[in-house]
Amino acid sequence: MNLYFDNSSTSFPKPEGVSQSINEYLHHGGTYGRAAYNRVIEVSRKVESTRSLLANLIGTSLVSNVVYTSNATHAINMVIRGMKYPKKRVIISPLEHNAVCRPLQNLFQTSGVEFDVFPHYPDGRIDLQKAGQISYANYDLAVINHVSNVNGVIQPVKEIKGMLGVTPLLVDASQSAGRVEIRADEWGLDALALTGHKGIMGPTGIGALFIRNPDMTDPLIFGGTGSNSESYLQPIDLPDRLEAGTPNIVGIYGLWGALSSPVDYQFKHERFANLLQEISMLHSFKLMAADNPDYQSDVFSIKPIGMEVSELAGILFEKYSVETRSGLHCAPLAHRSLGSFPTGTVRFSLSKFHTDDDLDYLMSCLIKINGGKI
Amino acid sequence: MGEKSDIGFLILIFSNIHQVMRAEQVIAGKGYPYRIVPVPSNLSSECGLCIRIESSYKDIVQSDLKDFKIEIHNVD
Repeated sequence: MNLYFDNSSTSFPKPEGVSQSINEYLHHGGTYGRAAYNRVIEVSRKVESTRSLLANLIGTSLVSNVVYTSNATHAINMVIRGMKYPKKRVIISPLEHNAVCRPLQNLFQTSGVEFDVFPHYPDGRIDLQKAGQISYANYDLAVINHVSNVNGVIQPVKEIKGMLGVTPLLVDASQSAGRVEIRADEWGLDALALTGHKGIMGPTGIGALFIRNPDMTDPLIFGGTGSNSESYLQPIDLPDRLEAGTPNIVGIYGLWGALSSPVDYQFKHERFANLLQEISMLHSFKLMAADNPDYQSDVFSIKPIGMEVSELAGILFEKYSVETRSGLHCAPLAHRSLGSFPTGTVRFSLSKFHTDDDLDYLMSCLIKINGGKI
Repeated sequence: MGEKSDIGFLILIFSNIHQVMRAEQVIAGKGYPYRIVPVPSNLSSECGLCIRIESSYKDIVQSDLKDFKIEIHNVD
């Protein structure tokens, strides 16, 4: 039985291909570029084939515009801290993570750049009708958390980009990449940040940034790239412009292992929908999920009534071995928007490896904590 | 790789490793004989990789790799 329900923090278990691929690299060695012996050529091919797999995953033909980062936070910082803000204004979704809010707060403190929040429904989903009345020409950037790490709401990214016009959109795909369809070219996304260790189910320490127009942002990090080495200037071509230093090759091999051995969902969508329905009937908890099931990913929260969130998470683990995360999930803005600040919630984030039986067990635990009744 | 010793070669230098590997995919996919070699120091101070291919492939390589930024050098 798989009782690990904290896949939004980091996925577990990983597909077999992840450890196999990492093991292959650790036994094989070699760096990316810089020389021309077979060990290096093999690694370089793998780094580039993984880049192509990532581009395919997010639906872009601009493979060179996918650059490796250490995680989504790194990728988000590359955009937010590398941009210029002549209008001194940014607009963000109500469910942003501190990966976005903290760099924006830093911008406010250092440069006076302020942010507004998109109008939204009670579940945090952006209200497209109201959002359509905003004049986006007043903004330098919009940021959307594609899938909330608190209640799993999926934002209508394509429609939002359609309203923004030329105002660039950065999508935080930390929770959506590998879980929810992304069509970067079709939707006209300007930038997208992802991490390898959550929905993609690869290792930690490897992520990526897709950036359509590289001039949108200046590099945060400068250094060697194995190219144009006679110059002290950072190369202008992607990916080197934004990829200084030796990349995380172990991580990239693990990412390749995950991307090249896709896993099918082992629980039925109907069972998950029923689980949410059943939890909503338990009087001891308030379910925090999308109001419309069409916009629900496989992450949700509950707020216990008459009990601290930490106490509920403790009972779930101590009595039932169910692993969850309680608190604010590094997303205080999301909890403020959802009315669960400052206590937060207990979050359940599923894996493709979960089965219907795992969901049945989880439900039985919650019923017991609810006093044995639905 | 089926190279002839009595013919010249081209050295294809790209802007970065990413481009070398992408070009290699194209060339290998077409079945042309090639080698990945260090960038000759007399051509560039570059510390990375480049592709060496027979001179007779010049026209088709230029056509197949028209989307790449390439410096093409003739070598013996």
